[in-house]
Amino acid sequence: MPADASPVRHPRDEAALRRVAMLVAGESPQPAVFEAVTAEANELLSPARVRIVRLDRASDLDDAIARIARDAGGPGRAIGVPIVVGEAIWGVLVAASADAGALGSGCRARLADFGELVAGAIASARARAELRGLAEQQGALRRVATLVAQGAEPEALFDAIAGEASRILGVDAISLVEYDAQTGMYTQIAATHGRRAAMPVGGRWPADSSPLGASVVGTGRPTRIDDWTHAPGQIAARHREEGFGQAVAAPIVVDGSVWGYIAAFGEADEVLPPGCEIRLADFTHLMATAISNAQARDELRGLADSQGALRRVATLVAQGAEPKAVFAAVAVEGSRLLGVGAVSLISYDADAQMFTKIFGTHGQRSPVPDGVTWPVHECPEGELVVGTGRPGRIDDWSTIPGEIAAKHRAEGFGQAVAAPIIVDGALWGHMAAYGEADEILPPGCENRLADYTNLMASAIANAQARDELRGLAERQGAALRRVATLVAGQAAPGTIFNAVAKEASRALGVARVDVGRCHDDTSVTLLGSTAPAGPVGPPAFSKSGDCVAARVIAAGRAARIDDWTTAPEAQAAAAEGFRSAAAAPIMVDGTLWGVIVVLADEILPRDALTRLTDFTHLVASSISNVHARNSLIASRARIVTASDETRRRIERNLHDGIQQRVVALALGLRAVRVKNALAAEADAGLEQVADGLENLLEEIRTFSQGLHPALLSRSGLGPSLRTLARRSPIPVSLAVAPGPRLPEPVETAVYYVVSEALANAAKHSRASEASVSVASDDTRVRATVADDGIGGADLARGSGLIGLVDRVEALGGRLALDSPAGGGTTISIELPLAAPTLDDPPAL
Amino acid sequence: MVSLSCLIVDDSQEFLASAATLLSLQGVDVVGRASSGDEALRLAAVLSPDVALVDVELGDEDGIELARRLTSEGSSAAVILISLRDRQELAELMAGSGAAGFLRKDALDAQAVADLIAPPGHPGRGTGAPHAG
Repeated sequence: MPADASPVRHPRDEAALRRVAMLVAGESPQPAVFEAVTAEANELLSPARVRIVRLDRASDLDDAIARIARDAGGPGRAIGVPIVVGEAIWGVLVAASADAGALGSGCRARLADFGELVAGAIASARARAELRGLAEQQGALRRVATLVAQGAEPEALFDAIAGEASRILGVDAISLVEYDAQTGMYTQIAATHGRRAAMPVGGRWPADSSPLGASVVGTGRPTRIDDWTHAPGQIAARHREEGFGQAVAAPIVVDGSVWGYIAAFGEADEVLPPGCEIRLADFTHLMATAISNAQARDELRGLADSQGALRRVATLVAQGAEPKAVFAAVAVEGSRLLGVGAVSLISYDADAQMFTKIFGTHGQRSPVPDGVTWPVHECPEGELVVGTGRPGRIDDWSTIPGEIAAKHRAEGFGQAVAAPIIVDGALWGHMAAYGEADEILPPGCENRLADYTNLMASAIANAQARDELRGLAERQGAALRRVATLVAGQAAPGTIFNAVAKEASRALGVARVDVGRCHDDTSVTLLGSTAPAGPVGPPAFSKSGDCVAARVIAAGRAARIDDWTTAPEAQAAAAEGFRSAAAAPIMVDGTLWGVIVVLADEILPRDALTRLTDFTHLVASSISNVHARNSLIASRARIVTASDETRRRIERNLHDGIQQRVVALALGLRAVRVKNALAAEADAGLEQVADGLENLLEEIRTFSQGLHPALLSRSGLGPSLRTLARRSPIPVSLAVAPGPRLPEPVETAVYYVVSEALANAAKHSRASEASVSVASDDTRVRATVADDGIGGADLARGSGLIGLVDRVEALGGRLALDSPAGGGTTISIELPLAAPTLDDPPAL
Repeated sequence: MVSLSCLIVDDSQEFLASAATLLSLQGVDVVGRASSGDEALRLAAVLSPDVALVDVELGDEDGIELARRLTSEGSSAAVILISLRDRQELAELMAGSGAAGFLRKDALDAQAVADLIAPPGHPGRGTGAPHAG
């Protein structure tokens, strides 16, 4: 029997192996295990010397043994046993001696025993490292994803990400940097190294200030800079001053483009471990969705702020407030939105090259009082806007001549930003915001102001049109005043145009007046008329009217036909029995919008055309007014759409990004537990991590369900509401009348209303049950959510309900809240299935 | 446990990889992975897996429609729909899909898959889809 195969070990061997095995089981560091193995083996196999040799390739095994045999000197020998870890040769355990006799029988078997222990120690260290890496990654992801699920502020999230990067890399100094591709500027978003950071959080620098950003953004790949000695730029200089050495950085790629990077900075004498940039890249990959999420949420907050501003101004407009009050509200809301105290609204007269100060939020401190007019060249920020037609910024007022600039300085103002206000395609004026002398207006401030003026242009146009109408009504007689009152009261288009026809007929003493809308194909449809409705519906545009309207459309100006008997179109008119006709074009924003036609039994008086023209002006102003009102509604609808889109993106992000990743990690964790027979303690630890991931998934799931009804468009309103009802902690009786699918924005609005109302009921009402009913006909849908709780709900309190009002009003609908104390809460909405437009045939 | 052959259909590579690893370690024979409907139909025809795990939201495609096609176009595979979402949220959409069952992705497990596929002679939990025993 070969000695090597001896199953019986000497007690001395047993003791030595047990000592090493204890070290391995005690998870001692590898060098300690290796040291113990060589010491114990040396003692047992003396005078032979034992070594552990790491092999790069399995084929090096024999060479390595032969070399050690040679090194042992003379005719010496060496015996080696391979150390096999995970089916691959890791290295070799070699015993060598100049004295061949020292490597006697049993030596190989004893070596093999030690070799197995070494292999076990390495395998267990590897498994531990793998688990530790996994646990670290999961821990980092869990902590960051939890913040995301809780809707934490972006700043908190960015700080957490930098902190986690520091923890995972074992590097104290970590920066999170955002890159703006448009300006080429870098912004410090978070830094773990406080005062030692080259830039404070919020600080910006250009590409040539540091080699790091250029390298990461340029290549889109992780990078390492070993030597900063000759790196140009201020940031690089600060880096050296603070005693930093090597740096690694990895790009953060969001939606396919480089959003920024995370950088880790070692101390001057520190060598960052190899592969550090790869681990950082893995980490940034993991964090990219969290970052894109935070960004989307920031946008959402901005949209919500704009929405609030627009709602307050739109409410004033809807209440028929004085134009002055509307202008003031526009300036005040702008000031609130930008967080800048001094904001002015200024109108522009292109012919006179003058500005007029409409309203300023900074009263006495303003160099120009409200209502005062002054030349363009004395208002530098306004001149900039007039010259470029774009938003702009004035940084330095110290060299600007003139009294107004001097007053600006004397009042302690510094930077200014301004943005144009465009109404009907022409520059109406501008809005400006003035910072204090020591204040730096945030980057992009002028663009935010421009977004805001765009949003408010229709409110300004509306106030302006109303001002003009009032002027017109004051100059003209009672007829015009009555129509102007209707318009100012925001009557339905049909009512307005019928009133115009009636007033024109009375004022001109004619039998019939038609107001028509001109289309591109030269056809005309009737909007209002003095003719009674026929037995089968609204009256038709008169044939005679058609003839004279055709002349107006062809010539682009007013026309009259005094005597049909001599006109070429005589036949059509004769059938209707009219003697003469006149028509004038209604021009809106410089284009032919429609036509107003009068038909008389007698020959029309000489001044008929002039008087008719007054009516067309009135109609044009009314239309401008209604246009402005509609576009105000459209602005609100656009914000609702934009925030829905952002919510949808966040939901997608969570679903496709973070949730998918957490599930993949959870399954990976289970795979590790299936693959490795782990000690009970380690397994329990992993189970805890697995439970943590499960909770996190649940949290994200709940959070994203409230965010956006992802399945609504696929499954429809009924099934989606049934899901809501099932999920509600309060029992819900649901009645959804069957019917065809509704337009998507309408379904979304109904869903949100029911969802928010049920959520409120569950949170605040202490109700024992709730009911939901939804029914629609051809033109509108009605939905009601009622509970039997304590009532007392208030639109003014809590952003949830007011958000619903925005949503419903943006679609031209109405929301009513009935919530007496102790009497339960009922929220009902009514939404038109199609938003009415001015061009629709009015209901008569 | 009888060894099952399985096709996984999901548009997330990350999920495909981790699900395949776990199921393989648990003794399931993962014969194919697909990330689109066409690929899934092709692989199902060639590989005749016992079971196809199909993601409900397959990128821009509809996993439920794919389940319907897999079961109606003569594939021998029993379909199990998988999703990150709750069964409750998807119940109405999944009705009539022909799928033998549903699993939330984080509950994916060889035993859970096997439990959803009834042995021959016992109709499956969905519609009793044809199943190669």
